[in-house]
Amino acid sequence: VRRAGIEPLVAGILRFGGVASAALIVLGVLLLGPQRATERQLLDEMLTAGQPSVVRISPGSVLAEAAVGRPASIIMLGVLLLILTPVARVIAGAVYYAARRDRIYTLISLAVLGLLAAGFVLGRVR
Amino acid sequence: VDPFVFVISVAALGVGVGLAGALFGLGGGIFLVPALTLVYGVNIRFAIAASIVAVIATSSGAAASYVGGGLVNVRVGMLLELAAVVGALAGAVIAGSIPTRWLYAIFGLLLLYSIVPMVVRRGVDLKPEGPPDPLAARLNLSGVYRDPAMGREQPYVAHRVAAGGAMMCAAGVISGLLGIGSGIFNVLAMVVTMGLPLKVATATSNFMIGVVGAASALVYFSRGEINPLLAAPVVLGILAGSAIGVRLLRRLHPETLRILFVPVLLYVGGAMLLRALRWV
Repeated sequence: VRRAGIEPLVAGILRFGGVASAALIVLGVLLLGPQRATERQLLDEMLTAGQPSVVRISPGSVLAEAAVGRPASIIMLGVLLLILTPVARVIAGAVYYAARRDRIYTLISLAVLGLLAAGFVLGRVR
Repeated sequence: VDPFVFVISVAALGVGVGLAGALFGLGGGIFLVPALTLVYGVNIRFAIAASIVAVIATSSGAAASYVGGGLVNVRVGMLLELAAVVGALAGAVIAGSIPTRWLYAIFGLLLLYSIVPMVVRRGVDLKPEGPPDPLAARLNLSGVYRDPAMGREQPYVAHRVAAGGAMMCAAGVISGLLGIGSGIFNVLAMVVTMGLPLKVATATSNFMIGVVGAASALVYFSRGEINPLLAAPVVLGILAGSAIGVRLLRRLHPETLRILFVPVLLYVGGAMLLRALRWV
């Protein structure tokens, strides 16, 4: 006997994130298909030994470039959505447990979120 | 190599990684990084960034089904991912001030040693043993899962919660320091230390690894180290592979899954020892 709990909410978020990011990535790959020169360039960049040329990508610019149909940015938007999916799942968990007045698991969820933010900031600084 | 051939073959590789990841509760970086660098000559920084994205793809792909199917214990997952994230952050902070060579050696040996309880403690899934940990009762860490392979409902309770949390924290430190291996240690902590059923451990580990990897994935993303031509086939292959792995896990008998873990532990433990010896 399974009680209705947080499971449908979490499963729904993970499934939506996976399907939506896969759809964006497929779209980007299809659009990138005919652009042989861009593909070659992307391939050469990752096959270069040593320090690769680092181009800072901000989520904002990815969104703007994907909106005008740049295939590589549509793929990157899909990847970004994929990365944010587990974070969205933790946020939903925090809200769910807070609404249920489950203090321990609300605090656990918020602590995970705080540590993820700290990890991101620390990683950016290095 | 032709870009088209590259994309198709990396996607095929991703299917295998996603399948193994879904079955064994690991992200697959330990398979993906050597394959990408040794076979294709991908720059190590792009390979590592792609493998973190791979971890999240495996996690979202597999965990969506596992959570919906009641295999994941969400509370155990949330508690342990807190321990793992604390550890990963600590590992990232002390990285560079600790010789990783010895860590590879110690944890490689630990993985090889863990083959013993995986083989010897057969049947542990079938009968929950001993009184539950008071902490498990307080944190409500029990559950029931339906195993289609065995055709019945399996109740279970977590044991030794504090020890499991400590092990998860240590696993997080290792993943923060070495960048690999958190998934397999998650499973071992849940199975060997906390006495959870193997399928619950695999599914819950899949659920956790996406969150633990999210912060570093965002860092790689913002540094521009995620290459779309690499990430696209990796993600699509893994989402397909993990969907296959999820179906396979449902049908596997827990004892079969346990035996299948042995070569995985041999490979991961062996790979870590080779790195300690600087052979790879």
